[in-house]
Amino acid sequence: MTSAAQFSERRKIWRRIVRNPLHLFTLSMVALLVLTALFADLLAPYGATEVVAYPFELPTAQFWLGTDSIGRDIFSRLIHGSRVSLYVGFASTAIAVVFGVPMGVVSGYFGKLTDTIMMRTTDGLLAFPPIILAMAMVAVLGTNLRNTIIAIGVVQIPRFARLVRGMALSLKESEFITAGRALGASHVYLMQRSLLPNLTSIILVQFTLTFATAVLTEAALSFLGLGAQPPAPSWGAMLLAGKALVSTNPYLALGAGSAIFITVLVFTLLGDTLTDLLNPYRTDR
Amino acid sequence: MTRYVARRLLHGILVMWIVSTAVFVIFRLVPGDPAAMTLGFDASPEDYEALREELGLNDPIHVQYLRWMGNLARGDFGKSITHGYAEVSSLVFPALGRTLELAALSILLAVIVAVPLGMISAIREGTWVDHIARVFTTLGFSMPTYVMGIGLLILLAEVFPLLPPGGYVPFGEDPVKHLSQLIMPVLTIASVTAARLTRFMRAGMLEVLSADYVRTARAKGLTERRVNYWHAFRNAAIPLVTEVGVNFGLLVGGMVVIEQIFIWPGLGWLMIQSILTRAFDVVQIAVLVSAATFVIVNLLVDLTYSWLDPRIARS
Amino acid sequence: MNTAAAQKPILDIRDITTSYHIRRSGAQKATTLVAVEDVTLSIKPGETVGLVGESGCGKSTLGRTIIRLLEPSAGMVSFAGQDITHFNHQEMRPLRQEMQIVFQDPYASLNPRFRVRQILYEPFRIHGISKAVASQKIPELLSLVQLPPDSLRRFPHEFSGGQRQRIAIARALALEPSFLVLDEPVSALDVSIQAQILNLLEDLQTELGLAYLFIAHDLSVVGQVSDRVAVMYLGRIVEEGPRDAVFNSPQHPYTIALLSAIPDISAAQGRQTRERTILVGDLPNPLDPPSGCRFRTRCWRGDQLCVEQDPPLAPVSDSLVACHYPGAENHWSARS
Repeated sequence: MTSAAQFSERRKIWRRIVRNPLHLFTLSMVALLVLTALFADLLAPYGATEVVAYPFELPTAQFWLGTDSIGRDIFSRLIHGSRVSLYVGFASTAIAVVFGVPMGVVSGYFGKLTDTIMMRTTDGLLAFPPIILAMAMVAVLGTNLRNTIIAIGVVQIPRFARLVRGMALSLKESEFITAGRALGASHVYLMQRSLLPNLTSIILVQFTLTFATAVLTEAALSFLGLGAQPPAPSWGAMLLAGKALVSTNPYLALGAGSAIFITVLVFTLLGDTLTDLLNPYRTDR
Repeated sequence: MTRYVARRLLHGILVMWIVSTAVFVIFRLVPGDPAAMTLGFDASPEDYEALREELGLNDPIHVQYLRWMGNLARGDFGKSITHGYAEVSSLVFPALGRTLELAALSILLAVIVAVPLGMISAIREGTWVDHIARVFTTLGFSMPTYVMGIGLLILLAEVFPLLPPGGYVPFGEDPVKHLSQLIMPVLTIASVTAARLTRFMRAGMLEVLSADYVRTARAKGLTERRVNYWHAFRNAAIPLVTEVGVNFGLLVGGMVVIEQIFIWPGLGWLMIQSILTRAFDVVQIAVLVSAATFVIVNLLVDLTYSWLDPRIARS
Repeated sequence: MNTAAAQKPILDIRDITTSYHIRRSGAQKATTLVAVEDVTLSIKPGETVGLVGESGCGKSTLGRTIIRLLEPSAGMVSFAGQDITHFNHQEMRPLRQEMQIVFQDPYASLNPRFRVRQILYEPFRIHGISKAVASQKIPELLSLVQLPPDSLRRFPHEFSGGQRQRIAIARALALEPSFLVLDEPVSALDVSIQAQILNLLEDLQTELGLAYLFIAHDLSVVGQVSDRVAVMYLGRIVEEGPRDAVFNSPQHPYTIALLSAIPDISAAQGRQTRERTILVGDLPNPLDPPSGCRFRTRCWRGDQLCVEQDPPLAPVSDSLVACHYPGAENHWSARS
């Protein structure tokens, strides 16, 4: 169905992007981050764990941000670190979506006892400060990157479930759902084909915001020594190492700190951009 | 009103029950049980079995659950085998106190900054004051607390060595040192929190300022100044209570990293130390207590809110 | 419209009662709202029955009970000679092809995320009809409701209210039903568009031999399309009969009041005008209906008998009327 209408719909979104410098900036930054992560091996001058010089070197033309306590190139490690951050962000958010969305849809659609049980359970889980719950899970599962992903993902499940449940609750009374029932559609069909398409944009927006939180949490856990283990190039772990190194070479801490800050900022902005772009009812002047 | 309080209390108790069950599930049912966690993954099978027996992990799961809930109900948090059988509560509660001290001071500072800033920003909407305030709030919103903390540490302890780079001395021992150690962590948390509160206050004020009754007040001949300060402030400040409460609860959890950076022996610091030394019996109680603090703070906020604005309780 | 005399009814409902359980905040136990009570009605193939009443009188609930979107708490629904009162989802499925519904609000009844092609494909998909068959039928449906073929690529929000209602009708017709519930299909539309949609519905009826239950709160609209008319008040049918009988000699005071609210064309033509009867008071709380006759709180004919006894639906001239004192208004005003 490569129709003219579909084409014009795409063109409308494109026009909204081009007209708004903030959207343009956000999307190019996202693209830049993703490309950096994908092609880290090509972009970084040196390997992530490669010892290339003496330790504690200050920035030079060869080592743009100097070297760390083992003599690895800080700039290269920051580039490789984007891969860790975005991978954890994506994988853990995917876990939250895969479990949270169906839970929310079922809970909102059926209501009654299913909903009550679901809501009370999420009440309990949401009572934990997110990072504490993630830490507890990592403590039990063992500290490695895979478990960090699981922990961060699980913590976000109730948040997704809540959001989706609220939307499903208000949508299920819509007449187009009743129309589907009158046509003889099954509950599964109605949830999957009628409700879900109306939830995609809000899920997508929440995905980017959760993604930002996940990147932040991974860095925090790695900073605490509970996430990615050395010598993996995690920004959080580099920040921890940089803290000890502040007086000799502050660029490690500054570089890792800025990388986290920028990534979180960009994905938070992406949430706003998507909200604006995906609104089908918005009319352009 | 009484019924509302009773209902909220009941809900709080229900949530606490779910929370303690969740902690039980995490620490007993997730693969990698407390025994393995205590001993590490390379322990001998004999040691492992002996510890499982001592911890009662070989009992049926419902017996373990009832024992866990029973102990909690009596306020018995157990003894820590990795801390020479010290009472876990004697480790956790002093740490909680130090965390609350940090959180309370930070929130206080944040409110002192955010309320006037948000108000001025709203009253002088679109002027340079407003723009500066908005840049500050946007940056504060995306700035991870720990990045901010490290930045301050570099600035105030390394580049300009004005303050100690962290640590903790009890107030009773050396009040001056205690306070100087407080400055950086409080500044860090307060500035991030203030960003959120300022934004909230500004939005609330703008909403109220455009509302009809303020216009009526203006028409009645009150001065501009009194209109802004009195009517708008009261109505924008009440929802702020909720926002402060939400932030306070989040802080107790989010302070883990800050305490680690500034070596402040609060609840978060205790948790990290306990995880690294495999003291699961301390970790589980620390997790429970931080969630409980969150629940209690939310409860207090709800009750304060309904006291300030009785319509809530009636709806 | 064709009269289809002496045919077996396609739809037959007997003593239908439908109630909702409502839990009001603060109340200890749920209260029961009886939205439809003891309603009996039948519709013949190719016939249009108009169902009128104020909003909240239970007419939509009745429509939804008939096509079994709701389950009645008492009574019987039979469709094409088959008792479907307690059919479950699976048993209803084949019947969904035979009975369909068109809703009042064409803005809410079409999935905003679907293009028209997807909206019209849904009925086929749900009933496992192959895509090949569907893609052959979908353009036919579009021309049936007189929409241009390029509509298929558009989203609902690109259409006007009238066009959307055409899409909703096309969807309802996709599986070639023999009976449609039209739940206030034109109430949300501009008057000029209303006429177009009503004409379309009439054409479709002639062409496809459909039976309609036409629900409306506006008697004049019902008068244009119906063969028979049923008037509902607080969950009950108070008067039912052939269109001309109900319109020319209404018997129930409620019907008389509703009719007198219609702007009168004969007045403009200089003929003698009907006397206007203005209904006073609000609709009573359906959770706590009045004793005896439900209409008595707003009736000008009522007396002690109406307080004590609930009037049954009984034949009066050509119609069935539930009133202790039935009759045309001039008869009553002459007496007093």
